[in-house]
Amino acid sequence: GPAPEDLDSWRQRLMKEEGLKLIQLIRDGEKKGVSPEEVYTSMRVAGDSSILPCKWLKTELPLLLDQISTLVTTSPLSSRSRDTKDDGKEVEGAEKEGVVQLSRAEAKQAWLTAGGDTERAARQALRDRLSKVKELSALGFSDEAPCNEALRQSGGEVRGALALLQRPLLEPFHKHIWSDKPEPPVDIHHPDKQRICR
Amino acid sequence: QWSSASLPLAEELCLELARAIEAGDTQAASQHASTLARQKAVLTIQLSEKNYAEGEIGLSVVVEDVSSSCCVTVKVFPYMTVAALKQQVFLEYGFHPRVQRWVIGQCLCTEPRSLASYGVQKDGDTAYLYLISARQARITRQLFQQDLES
Amino acid sequence: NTAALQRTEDTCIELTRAIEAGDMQSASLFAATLARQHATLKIQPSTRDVEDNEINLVVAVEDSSSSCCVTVKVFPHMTIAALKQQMFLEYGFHPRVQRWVIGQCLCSDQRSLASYGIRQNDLSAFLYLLSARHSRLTLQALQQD
Repeated sequence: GPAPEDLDSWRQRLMKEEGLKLIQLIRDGEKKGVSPEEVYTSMRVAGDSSILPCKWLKTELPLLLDQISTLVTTSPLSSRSRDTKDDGKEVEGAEKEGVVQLSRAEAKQAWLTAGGDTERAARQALRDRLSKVKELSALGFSDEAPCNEALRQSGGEVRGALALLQRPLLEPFHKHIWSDKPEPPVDIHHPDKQRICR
Repeated sequence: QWSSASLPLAEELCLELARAIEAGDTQAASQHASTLARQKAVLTIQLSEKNYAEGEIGLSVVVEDVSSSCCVTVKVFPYMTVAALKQQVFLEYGFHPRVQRWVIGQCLCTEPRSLASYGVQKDGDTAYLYLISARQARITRQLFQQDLES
Repeated sequence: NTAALQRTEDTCIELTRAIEAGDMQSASLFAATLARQHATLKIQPSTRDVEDNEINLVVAVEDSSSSCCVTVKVFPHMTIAALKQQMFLEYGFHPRVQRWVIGQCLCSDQRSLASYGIRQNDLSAFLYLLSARHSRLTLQALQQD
């Protein structure tokens, strides 16, 4: 058989050639606004079929993302009620919270992180969503259903969900800004001196 | 149930988990893992260095971006993770980890994995470092400066 | 060999994620898988790298007649001008009606939040909202911006 050095130099040449092939695909992708992760993962999932990554992303990916979202919605963990006992068993009779609906952005991010493995993507997407709901409840929004909906609308961004949840609180301030009522006189005797200065 | 006072420190639980796994005691391993999961512990779990080839190697790195390419040699260990490699290249060449994408063989590398798990073994093995634009990686000048100092 | 390394390392990554997410079922499963291979591991607590120190700023929003509290996610190095822009995008308050007060200082646009002492979580700031008339903001200007 071939001497070990030849085997090894053949291995190193193959490693270099395969790497270059993927780099060229990634470079084309960047020119079309497709990220390296999207190029790589679509190539892995589409196998050696001849469709270009960006075309595959438009035609095939949406179906996979819907699959991931369905996996999440139907998972037992997603509709567990809030007062689950520590070991994950549900408290009997507790009313079920809303089911977790993933946004496309969350499904896609999970799909990329899981390298195209839809089961793993669904599992991680649900975990990430549950930890974000927990973060929002720590900020005072303890009702899970509106938090889940706000996260869905903001593509899984806690910052965006927070804005959606808090916007109604600030509605009255908008009315006041455009009202023509003259400013009320400053009440010097108001206990909170700070407030007077502001 | 552990009372909070006698709750073993996370470190002890980690040691016990590692020992149970190495001894092949699936029962104890599952039990320790689920105790750690109950605490939602943030851990790093890596194969010990014994599992990897010894010694430092000279990895030939082809640096690429959308328009140009050049080649440098970077001293690495096979057990190193891609995240550690990104940090080393950041300190040696100034490319922020967020703009670095590593390709070895047919794979776009993920940060927690070791270089050996992507097939890096000997001097002269080739890896590609593709640099995406800072805009794409949403890096601000400030963030770049901050990370360099920290 | 490489393939075996790949599989074992992937299992370690999945175990780490399962533990961090509190998913006891998956954690036990992956731990048992690794035990069957007698894998020699290095396991230790680590700190989760906070997403480049984004912090939760508690903001007391006030105008001449009412006030309420909201949480705004900010970065210590961002400027007051950037903060006003963020409030405009997220809640629609035009920068010209916003007056920020932190630690008894009326904040100026170019300075950063950090320069006013905002560095970690849950510090507080006041946002005072002027009326449009008072800040000479016209509906037309609002539309433009």
